[in-house]
Amino acid sequence: MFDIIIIGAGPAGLTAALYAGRAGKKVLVLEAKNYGGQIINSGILENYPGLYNVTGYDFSTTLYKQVLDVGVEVKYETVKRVTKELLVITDKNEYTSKAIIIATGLSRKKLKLENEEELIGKGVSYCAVCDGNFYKGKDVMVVGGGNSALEEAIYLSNIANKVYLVHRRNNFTGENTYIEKIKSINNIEILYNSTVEKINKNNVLESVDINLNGEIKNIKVSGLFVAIGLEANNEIFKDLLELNSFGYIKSHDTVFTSVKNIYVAGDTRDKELRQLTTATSDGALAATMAIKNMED
Amino acid sequence: MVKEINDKEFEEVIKTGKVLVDCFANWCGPCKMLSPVIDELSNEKKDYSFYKLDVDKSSDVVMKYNVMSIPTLLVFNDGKLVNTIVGLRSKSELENEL
Repeated sequence: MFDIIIIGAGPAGLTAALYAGRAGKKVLVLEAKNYGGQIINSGILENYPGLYNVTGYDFSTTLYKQVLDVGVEVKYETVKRVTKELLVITDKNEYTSKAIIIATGLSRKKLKLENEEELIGKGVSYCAVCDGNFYKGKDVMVVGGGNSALEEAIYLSNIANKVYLVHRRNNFTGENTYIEKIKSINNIEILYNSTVEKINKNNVLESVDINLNGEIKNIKVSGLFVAIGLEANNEIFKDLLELNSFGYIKSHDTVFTSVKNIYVAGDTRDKELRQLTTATSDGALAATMAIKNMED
Repeated sequence: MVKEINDKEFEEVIKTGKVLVDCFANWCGPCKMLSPVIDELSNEKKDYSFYKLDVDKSSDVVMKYNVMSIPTLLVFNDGKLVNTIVGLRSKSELENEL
């Protein structure tokens, strides 16, 4: 029996683990993949107060070591189900706990088209900063209309020969500064009212079929950067907890869920601002509330 | 520690036996996370030879094997490419792949 089981080893989950571990609780962190969460893909952190010239990887690794140092146990197992009796079932084991903190984060949304999965690393990418350098002088396409799509298009315009920006609406939802900048860059071609219909391959990505105002247009590109937002992966909790229409876990008084002794922290919670600062803040609060209610 | 190789050494080391080449870059966070896993595997899987290759210094290999994302693991058997593993994986996932 654990005092607290934390699901997810990103910034929110690890901060919760640090607080609970320092409070002397018996803590288990369950992580399906690798510690660190989304932030490991970031270069230098630009807006975490007090950290200067520190990368997302360095931040995560330091936090991970801190957590291990306070005696927290971390296991790499995939959680399959959680019950309201606080039983946690993974692909390998079953655990019981006095409290659970869900910090499962978000992942990049996919287009859900044929060949997409298969071409990851062979032309399809969800991270321009990670993969952009492999497309020097080539033609690429960015899909999306929010800040991340606009940022990626601007970033890639400095590396690639040409950037097609495919957006399903006739105006962008991102910040004005980005929109103005996009329009001033010569090698970005904006395709409004257009959606990706088909991804074509010959071992690697060969071309993309676009539906432009109802007309199908084939465009040859070496890279397809998908930036259509992030999504929560809360399928396994849908019978247990209240989710909102976007699949985020509904919270009240910040980190409480609809079930007693189950808390939620970080990006997977319904909230206004998803940042490293708010993730760590959630983690600290969730652990503190879990401990407080355990002792009452 | 896994030995780092360059374009020139690459052709020579993949020629015989089972060889895994970890294509990485210093600016890549997921590559840094994978690196200790590769170190562990190299100590445990003695039937494989393990090497790492910096993609920023070895453009020939990058072009030849169509490396378009990192980390990418190239797996060879007697010089023939038998598997390409793209993206950060856990140790158990890699054990299953090898």
